[in-house]
Amino acid sequence: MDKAAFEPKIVAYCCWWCAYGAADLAGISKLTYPASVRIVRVPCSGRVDPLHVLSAFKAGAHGVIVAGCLKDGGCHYVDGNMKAEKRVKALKKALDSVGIGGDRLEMYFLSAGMPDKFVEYTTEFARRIERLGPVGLEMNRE
Amino acid sequence: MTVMATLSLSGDAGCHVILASLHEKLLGLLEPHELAFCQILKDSRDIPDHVDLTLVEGSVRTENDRERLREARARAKILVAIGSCACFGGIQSLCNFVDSQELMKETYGAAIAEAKSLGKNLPEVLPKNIPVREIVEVDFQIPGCPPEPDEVASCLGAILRGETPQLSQKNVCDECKKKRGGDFEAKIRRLTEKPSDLERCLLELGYICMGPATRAGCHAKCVAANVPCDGCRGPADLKYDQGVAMLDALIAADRETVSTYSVATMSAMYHRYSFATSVLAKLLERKDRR
Amino acid sequence: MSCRELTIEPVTRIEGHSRVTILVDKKKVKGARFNIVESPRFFEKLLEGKFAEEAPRITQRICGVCPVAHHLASVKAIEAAWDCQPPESAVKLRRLMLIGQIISSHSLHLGFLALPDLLEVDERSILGVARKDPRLASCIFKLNRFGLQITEAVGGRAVHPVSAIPGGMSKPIEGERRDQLLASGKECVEMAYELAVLVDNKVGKKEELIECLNLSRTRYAGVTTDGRYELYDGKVTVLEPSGEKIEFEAKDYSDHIAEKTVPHSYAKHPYLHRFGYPAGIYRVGPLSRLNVAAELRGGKVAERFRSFVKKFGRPAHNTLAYNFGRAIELAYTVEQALNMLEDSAIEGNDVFSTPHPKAGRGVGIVEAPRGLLVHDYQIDAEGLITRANIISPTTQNAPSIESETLLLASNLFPHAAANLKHMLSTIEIMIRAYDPCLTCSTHFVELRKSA
Repeated sequence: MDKAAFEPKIVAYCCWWCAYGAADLAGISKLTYPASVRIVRVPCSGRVDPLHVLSAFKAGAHGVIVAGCLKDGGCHYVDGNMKAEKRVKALKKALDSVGIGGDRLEMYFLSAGMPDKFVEYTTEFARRIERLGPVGLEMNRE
Repeated sequence: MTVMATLSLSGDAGCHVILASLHEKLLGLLEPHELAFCQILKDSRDIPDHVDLTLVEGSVRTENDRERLREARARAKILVAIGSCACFGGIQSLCNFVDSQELMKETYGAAIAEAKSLGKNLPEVLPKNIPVREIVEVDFQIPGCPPEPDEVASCLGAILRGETPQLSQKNVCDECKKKRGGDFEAKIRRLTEKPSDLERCLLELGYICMGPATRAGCHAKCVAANVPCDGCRGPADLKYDQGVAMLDALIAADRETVSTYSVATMSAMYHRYSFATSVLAKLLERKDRR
Repeated sequence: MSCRELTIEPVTRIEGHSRVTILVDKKKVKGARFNIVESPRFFEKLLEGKFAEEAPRITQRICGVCPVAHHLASVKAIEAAWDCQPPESAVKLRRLMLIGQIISSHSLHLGFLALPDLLEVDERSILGVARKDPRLASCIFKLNRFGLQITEAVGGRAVHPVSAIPGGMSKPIEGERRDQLLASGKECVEMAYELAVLVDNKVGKKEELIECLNLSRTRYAGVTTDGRYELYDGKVTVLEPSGEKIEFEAKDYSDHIAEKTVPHSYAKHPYLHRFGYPAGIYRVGPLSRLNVAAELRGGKVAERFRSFVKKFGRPAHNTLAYNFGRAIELAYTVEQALNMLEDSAIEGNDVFSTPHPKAGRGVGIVEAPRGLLVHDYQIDAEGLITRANIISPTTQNAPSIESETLLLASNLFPHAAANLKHMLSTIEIMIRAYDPCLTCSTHFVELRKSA
């Protein structure tokens, strides 16, 4: 496939309080973030189930972001973001094992007042996915 | 009077053995009605044009299975998928890792041309093993490998009375008598090691016990026999993916999920009966594979 | 000369899907085929890469009627590969579980599948049997229940048991379960012998049918220990037409048994390769077991065995004798179950000794209800299966079923004229006598260039 023509599809599960707030503020401030990123608002990053991540890939996503509040007390539900971090770490391993690749999943931490960070993280991730290209599934069946 | 039929697709007849094992209850269930079509118990050749209730055992593996299933659906008012093969694809879905053309080529080798001529006498094997609900609409499902006899009897009884059968919405842990302390061993333990404490939860001890991701109703018999649950009844809710649910449970318990073993090896633990319906199986079908 | 095809599609009241195709012209039968159309499920391929100790639970899904046989053959194959001996108490429990399977499978076959024809009930089904003779139906149900209860008590579940693991069993049998089974067993032993007598008397009177099915002459294969009747463990014994016996160990089976693919069937045709194909064909199952083993002695079974030999000779070749043999085995195994349950050693607690997984190949052979069953695994150093070969009983009987179909059709067709239905029905009765289990026979396919 011609990499230049590759248009990645990225799903970003953003927590309502912080990540989505930052995205919103980015929009209001007329900061641009990659059009490849589609935002799905969740009450807390801790709500994101492995099934949500895998379903995104099943539906055709080339990359998935989970974005939540800052660590060290930033989470509005105490430690939802820490649970999400644990899940994402384990899911990355599982995605490697399945042949999708753990680097197609990433978690980011930010606060509602950080629209620049939202832009920085999504841009960086979109570039990574562009480099990785479409999803190929070389399974380690050995 | 209800006209009934049973259909056997690709399976092991275990669900019919359970039906037969209802003994007097089976006779009682059937007596006011008519078992018009059942090839293992009667001399049935063709499905009648109008059937009120058809039970389907087995998954769709061949063209012949698919045709017969569609025919049965067209002629039945109510179609019930019985057993985990019909409901989720069953254990033979573990072969879905390999496309059937590749499977046939590997087993047939150089004689694939001759294999094509088998089509004259033998039904064609489809690319994947498929659960019943992905081919036709299913009115009820009675999962299990095999389902529990009393569950089959009560579900059938309900359907024959025009009611909705009730299956447990809980998971196997709810029926399990082992003691839970809340401390999980980090490493995966295999069946070759004897549990250090036969009273204690097998999942906590490190075994891959699918109890948290499996529908209750079996009285946790396997665990009572000191062997981990292998998930034969499918998920507690048909929307869930058993393997992913189990993955999530293990992550929460800080338990090793995969270790160095391959996906094929681990799928036989997390998705033994439901691989065909899993997200992983659908991922394998993604068209943009390199 | 124009030919047409007569078909039985499907053969009913057997386990699994098959079709009989008979090619005829105006006067004679030109050919016959027994097409096993049951879908292949590729179990041997499926096992590759899986934890070996999970195989007993996985492979038993090959068959819902004889899962215990697969469960045990599988665990024996693994133990052979790992040089692992289970404790004596575990072996006792496994023997009891296997007997339980024979009881549930034979009672299911006789009551639900075979007797509706042989007792000529109006509706050819268990429903018809129950209407004509409720007491007989009740007896069948009790026997079937007893077999399933044994499997549940020892194996954890009635269908697809779980307790046989490499190294032994996952649990002993509980005292209360043993007591319950003892109580049922005592009642069942009487009934089982009554059933054997009923089959002997009533079905024994069907001289025309018996004569009709007196066509096959094959060699017979079964497991024996020191020449005696055996189900769980022993040497494979082949009874030659000459009367000579060939014996070999389970681990050497592939030196003796080869498999031939046929393009019209999803099951292969095994044969003894020193004799070539088709000369090397052999039969397995109740008929074979009674033929290859020494005569059954002691108590009621001796009487039944003598009556059997009187009717069919020794060795017995008549295909209908399968059903008589099945009824005798049913009674004999109920009696053996009772004996095992009465021995307090059955409650032995030491049932597991930790296995040490290693790379290796192992073969496990047991007598399933329908005959010899072979599981052959190659396991790697991590304890994962790399290759598997499974030979089921019905696969071994398939070539005989087919050749007998041809013989029977050839005999009956010239006189069948207007009553083709009767001819086809007789062919079905012959096939049913083998108690074929087709889901067992087509779990795999391997097609080499056929001759």
